[in-house]
This record gives sequence, C-alpha cells and structure tokens, in this order.
Amino acid sequence: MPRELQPERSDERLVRLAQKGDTAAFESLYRSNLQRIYALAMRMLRNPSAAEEATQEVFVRAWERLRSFRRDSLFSSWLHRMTVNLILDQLRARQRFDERFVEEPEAADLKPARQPRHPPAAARLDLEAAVALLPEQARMVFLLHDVEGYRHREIAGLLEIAEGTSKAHLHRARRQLRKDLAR
Amino acid sequence: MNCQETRRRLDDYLEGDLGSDESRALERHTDGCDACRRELAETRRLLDEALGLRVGLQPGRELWGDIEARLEPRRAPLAGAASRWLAGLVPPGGGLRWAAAGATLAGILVATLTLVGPSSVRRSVPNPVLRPGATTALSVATAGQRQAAAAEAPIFQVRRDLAATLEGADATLDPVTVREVERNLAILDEATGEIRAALEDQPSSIHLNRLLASQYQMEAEVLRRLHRL
Ligand SMILES: [Zn+2]
Repeated sequence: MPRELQPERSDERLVRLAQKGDTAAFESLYRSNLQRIYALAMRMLRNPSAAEEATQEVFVRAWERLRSFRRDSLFSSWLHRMTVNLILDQLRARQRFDERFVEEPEAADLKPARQPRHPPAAARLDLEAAVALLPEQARMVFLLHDVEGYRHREIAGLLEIAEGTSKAHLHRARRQLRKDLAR
Repeated sequence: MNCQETRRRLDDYLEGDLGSDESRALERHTDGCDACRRELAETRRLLDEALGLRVGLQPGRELWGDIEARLEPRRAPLAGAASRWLAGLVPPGGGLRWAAAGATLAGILVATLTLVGPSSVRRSVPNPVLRPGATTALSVATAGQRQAAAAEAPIFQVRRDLAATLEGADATLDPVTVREVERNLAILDEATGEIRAALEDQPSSIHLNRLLASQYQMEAEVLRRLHRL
C-alpha cells in the first residue's frame, strides 16, 4: 500500500452504498478519486486519450469487483493498485513493454495534461516533462516509488522484475532527472 | 566512506535502509565533501518535487457518462427489502405484536421448526411445487448453492404451514398480528427474490450464495422467535 495516504472516512460509507448497487455513491467515489487515478494513468501512459480510456476501465472494473473490496483497506489504495495492474497488463498485452523501454516518447505525449485543475508550478511542469522523457521502466519505477510511495519489493512484484533491478531503475531515473532539471 | 561508495549508497540512505553505522559514515563524508553534499541535497529536492506530482490531473473531458453507461445494474440483495425485513424483525414494540400471535401459531410452528435445526442442512430436496425457482439454484451445483438449497428445504415447509396457519387463523387471531406477520413474510419474500434474481446473473457467485443461505438462516431465526413468543 502506498505510504502517506490518509484514510478517507467518508469513502467508507460511500463504498458500503456502492457495494449495494448505489451508482450515485459510486459516482461520488469516482469524483473524489478521479484526478489521482487519471494522473497516475497519464504519467504511466503519457497519452491523454489512452489515460482517459484506462481511467474509465479502472472505474468500470472497480464497480464489477467492488464486492471483493475488503473494507479494512483504503478504497483509494485499492483503486490505485487496480490502476497500476490494469495499465501494466495493458502494456504487457500489447507486447510493447520491452520495446517501449527504448522507444522515443512522442512530443505530443509530453504534455502533462490538457486541463489541469490548478495550473502546476513551473518546477512541476519541468519535472513532468522530464519524467515523461525517462525510459519506460525507469519511469514506472520512479512514478511508483518516488511519486506514489510503493516500496521496491512491491514494485518488483508489479513489474515482474528483481528488487535489485527496481533499485537500479530508480537510481538511473533520479540521476537522469537531476541532470535534466539541472539549474 | 569515499565518494563512489557514498553515491552508491545514497538511495539506500534516503530509503532509510542503511544501518546506523553506515548512515553515520555517509553523513561524515557528505559533511566534508561538497560534491556529495550537493548530490544529496539535489536528490532530496527531487524527492520533494516528486511528491508534488501526487496532485491529481483533470482529464480533458467528462468520463463519467461513458463509465456509468457501462456499469451493470446491480440488484441490491440486502439494501432494500432485507434491511426493511431486518428492521421489521425487531420493530419498535414489535415484540409485543409478535407475542400476540399466540398459541395457535406457535402450536403449528413447533412441529415444523424442528426441521430447521443444523441437522436439517443435509436435507437437500426443496419443494418444487411451492417454489419452482428453487430448481434454478439446484441446476448449477456449486457448494454454496447446495448449501442454500439445503437450507431452503425446511423453510418451505415452515412457510407453507405458517401460511396455512395465517389463512386459517384469520378469524381468530388479532388482525393486526396477522397483518404484521404477512407484512414480514412479504418483505422476506422480496428480499429472497432479489437475491435469487442476482444469482441468475451470477450463478456461481459465492457471495450471493452465502447471502441466500444466510437469508434462509435468518428466516429460520425469525420463525424460531415467533415460535418462542
Ligand atoms: Zn564525495
């Protein structure tokens, strides 16, 4: 579970209602979790329409699996992990994961988002762009570890790589980002 | 600790994975080495900025409409009818009203309720005449469904007798009591119907099968209470 996520008490009630079939409650859960989920998808996929599709898929899947959600865990964490798994599955299914590792990102994909609710600080825009330029696995590891707070052990499991490989990717990512952001 | 070692262990240091001796050695080095100190400071700043990426992004278009259109309507087995039934199980002052059911009802029930004990779970022949829907549950033989069906069988008998009692007792029992019992049975039926309908969509759902089985157990329980009063 990602560190530093605060428990959301109001989610508990909404989850209970949604589990009973209340779509309005589920919409509330969608609204309160949308931006984090979309941001994660966007940073993993670097493509707004792909991120939008993944986001929709995550919430549809969440609805279908809501009954299996254990209420002693955080809904946001559950959703979060589902997003990571779904996107990684998609990337693997397309059998492009390894190719993407060396693929040059397209310029159009570098824009962090079309309509951020709050205009990001300049430094964050720089970091967004620099992150998007990272090689695939280094980017995934950086996002999961330094942004989302996963541990190397968890990342290794998600990405199906060795823990040492996860650490090596993170090291490379940080070095690259520091270089790109040198000021 | 030299520069090379320090750089190699920096991530572990920031992760909190270095032992206290190694941590102190690294700190001693960065205290005295400008380059490594800068490296550490820059990495820390990067990590601070990375946390800033945790803020959400707003998608460029509204996604809810498409999501909502794909949400399968879900029957709510315990949301409506069953919770109302549970509420009806212990209504304000309800105990008194149940009590009014009196000896006639209890006398009929005492014979049938003995069927509902744990040993009766092994009984597996529901009454298809009373509840044709029962065969649906039996046609897919998951453990949960067998369990549900087994729990169902004695309930049918109880229900039939209870219905007969109510029918025949209308003239003698307090009409308020009769209505109360009928109301509770109707709510109970509705709840069971909802679970059954949901089961048709997801026949292998362990959750639903358990719900159904527990529904029957609750039903047995309410009849036991009725009997005790
Ligand atoms: Zn040094």
